[in-house]
Amino acid sequence: MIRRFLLVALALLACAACVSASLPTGLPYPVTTVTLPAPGDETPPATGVPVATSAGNRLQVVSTTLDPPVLARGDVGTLTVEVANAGLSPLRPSRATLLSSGPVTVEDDPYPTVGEIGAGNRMAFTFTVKAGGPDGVAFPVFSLPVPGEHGLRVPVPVRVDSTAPAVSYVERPDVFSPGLAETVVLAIGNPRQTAIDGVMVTPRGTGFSATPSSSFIGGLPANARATAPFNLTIEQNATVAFELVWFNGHNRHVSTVDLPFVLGTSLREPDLILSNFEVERQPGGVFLLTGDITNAGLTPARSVVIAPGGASTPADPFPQYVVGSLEPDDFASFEVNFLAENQSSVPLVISYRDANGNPFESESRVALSQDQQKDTGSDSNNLPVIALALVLAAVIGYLIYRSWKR
Amino acid sequence: MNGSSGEPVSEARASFVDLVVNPRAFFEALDPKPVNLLFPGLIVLVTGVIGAVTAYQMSAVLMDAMALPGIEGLGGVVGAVGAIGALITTLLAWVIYTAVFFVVSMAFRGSGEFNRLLSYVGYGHVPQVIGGIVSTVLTWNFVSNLRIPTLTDPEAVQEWSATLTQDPTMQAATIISLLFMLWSANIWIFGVRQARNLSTRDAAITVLVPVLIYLLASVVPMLVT
Repeated sequence: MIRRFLLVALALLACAACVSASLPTGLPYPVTTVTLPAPGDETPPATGVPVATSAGNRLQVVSTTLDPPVLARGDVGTLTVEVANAGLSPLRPSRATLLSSGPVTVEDDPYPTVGEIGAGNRMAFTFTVKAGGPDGVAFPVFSLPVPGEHGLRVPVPVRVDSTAPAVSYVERPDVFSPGLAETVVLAIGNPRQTAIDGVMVTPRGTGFSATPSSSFIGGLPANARATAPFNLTIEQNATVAFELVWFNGHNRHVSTVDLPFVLGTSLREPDLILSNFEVERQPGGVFLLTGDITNAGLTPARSVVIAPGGASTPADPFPQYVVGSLEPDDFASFEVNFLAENQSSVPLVISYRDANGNPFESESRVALSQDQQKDTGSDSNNLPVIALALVLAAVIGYLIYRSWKR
Repeated sequence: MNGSSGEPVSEARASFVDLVVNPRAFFEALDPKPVNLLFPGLIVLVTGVIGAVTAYQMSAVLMDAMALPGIEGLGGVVGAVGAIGALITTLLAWVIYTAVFFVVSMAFRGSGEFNRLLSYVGYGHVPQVIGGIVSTVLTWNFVSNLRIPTLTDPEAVQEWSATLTQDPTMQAATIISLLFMLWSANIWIFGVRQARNLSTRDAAITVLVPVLIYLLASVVPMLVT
C-alpha cells in the first residue's frame, strides 16, 4: 500500500514538471530560462543586488542589470531584473511592476500578466528607466505579487552621476600671432565610474582655422585620460569653443569648453641679433661681411639663413649663409659676399622658422664705411708685399745684370 | 774647358759670394776640382726643407680649420704628407732639371759628365733657398690672417681653395718665387756652360727654354683664374 502511494506521488510530480516545461514563451509572458543554482551555491549575481530571499518565500531575485551601469541626468537606461523560483512547485505571479523612486522614473508600464514560473526556472523582467536630478542612488522597487503566496518586493539600486568628462589644456601658447599656426593640446579625462564611448572633440567658432578639424578619441575607460592636439591659426581675437561629444550607453552628451585667444607678440619666440660685424672689400669690389648671430629668445630658431638684401647683389662664394638651428642663448658665426657699389649700408635679411614651421623674417643693417668702398684688400693690405716683390726684382735684376757684365 | 770672358778667378775665390755675384767665375774656379755632390746636395736639401715647412703650414692649418667629415684632426698627418711630398719633389726636380739640361745640351754637342752638371745645378739652387725663406714668411703671414670658413662640403672646399690663389699676397708670393727661379736659371746658364763645354749662347738656350716653359706653365693658370 505504501509502495503504491509513493508511485502515485512520483507520477504526479512528473506530470507537474511536464506541464511547467510546456508553457508558452512568447510575450507578454517573461521568458523562463535555466535551473536554479544548487543549494549552498553562493555565487553572486552578475550585477546589482544579491539574491533576495525571505522566509517562506520561494521567489528570489537572482540578478539586476542596468545598462548603462551609471546614469547621468537625463539618461535613459534599461533595468533588467531576473527572478527565479526556488521552490518545488510552479508559481503564477499576477503582475510585475517597478515603482519610481526619487530622481529615477520608470518609463514603461507594469507587466500586466506574468504567467507561471516553473519550479527551478528563471524569468527576466526589463524596464526602461530615466534619470533625473539630483545625483545620487535611487531605489525603485521591483514588485512581483503572487496571489495566495508570498510575493516579491525588492528595492533595486540605480546610481545617477552627472559628472562630465574633464577637459584641460596641456599646451597652449601665451599669445597668438596673426596667421601663424600654434599648437593647442587638450587633455580629456574620464572621472566617471564607468567607461564612456564615442568621445570626440571639435573646435567651433569663427576667425580661426584648425587642423585637424576634429579629434576622435573613441572609448575612454573609467579614470583614463586622452589628449587631442590641434594646430590653430588665428586671424583675429577669437574665442574657440571646443565641443566635447561623448556617449553614456546610447545617451549622447555634449559639453563645451571656451578658450579665448588673444593676438599679440609671443614672449618666447626666437629673437635673432646680429653683431661683431667685420666688412672687407675684396678684389673685384666684392664685400666679405663676417659677424655673429645670437638667439636672444627663449625658443629655438630653425632653418636660419642670412642673406644680403636691398640693392646689394649676393656674390660667390657665400651669396647666403645657412646657419641651421640656433638654440636659445647660442650663437654662430656667419659670412656673406655681396656687391654694393656706392652704398653706405646694406641690409641683412634673416629668415628662420619656429618649431611649428612658421616662417619669420627680420632685417638688420650694416654700415659700409668710406674706406671699405675702396679695394683695400688689394691695395693697402698688400702694399708691403708688392713693395717687397719690386725690391727683390730690382736686386735680382741687378745681380743678373752684373753676372753678365763681368 | 771654356774660356772665360770676365776676370779670372782663382780656386780660392770660388766662394758663395762669387756664386751670387759672379757665377761665371765661380764655376770656372770650380771646374778643375773633382766633382763634389755634398755641398750641392745640402743646398738642395735645405731648399726642400724650406719648401716642406711651407707645405706643412699650409696643409696643416687649412685641414684643421675645415670640418670635412672623416678627416677631423688629421691636419697634422696631411701636413706631414705635404711636407714629405715637397721635400721629395725638390730632390727629384734637381735630378730632372739636370737631366733636361743634359739632354738639351746634347743638341749643341755638349760634353761633360752628368755628375758635374748635377753638382752645378745643385749650386744653382742657392737663390731658391733665399726665395723659399721669403715665400715661407709670406705664406705664414697669409695663413695667419686668413679667415677660414667652416666648410663641410668637399666641393665648397675646392672652390674656396681656388679663391686662395687669387689673393694678391699669394700671387705676389708666386711672382717672387718666379723671380728667384729666374735668378737660379741665370746661375744655371754659367754652370751648364762650364759643365757641358758649351758657348754662352748655347748654354742660355739649353737652360732658358725649359725654364721659360716651366715659368709659363706656372704663370698662365694664375693669369687665367
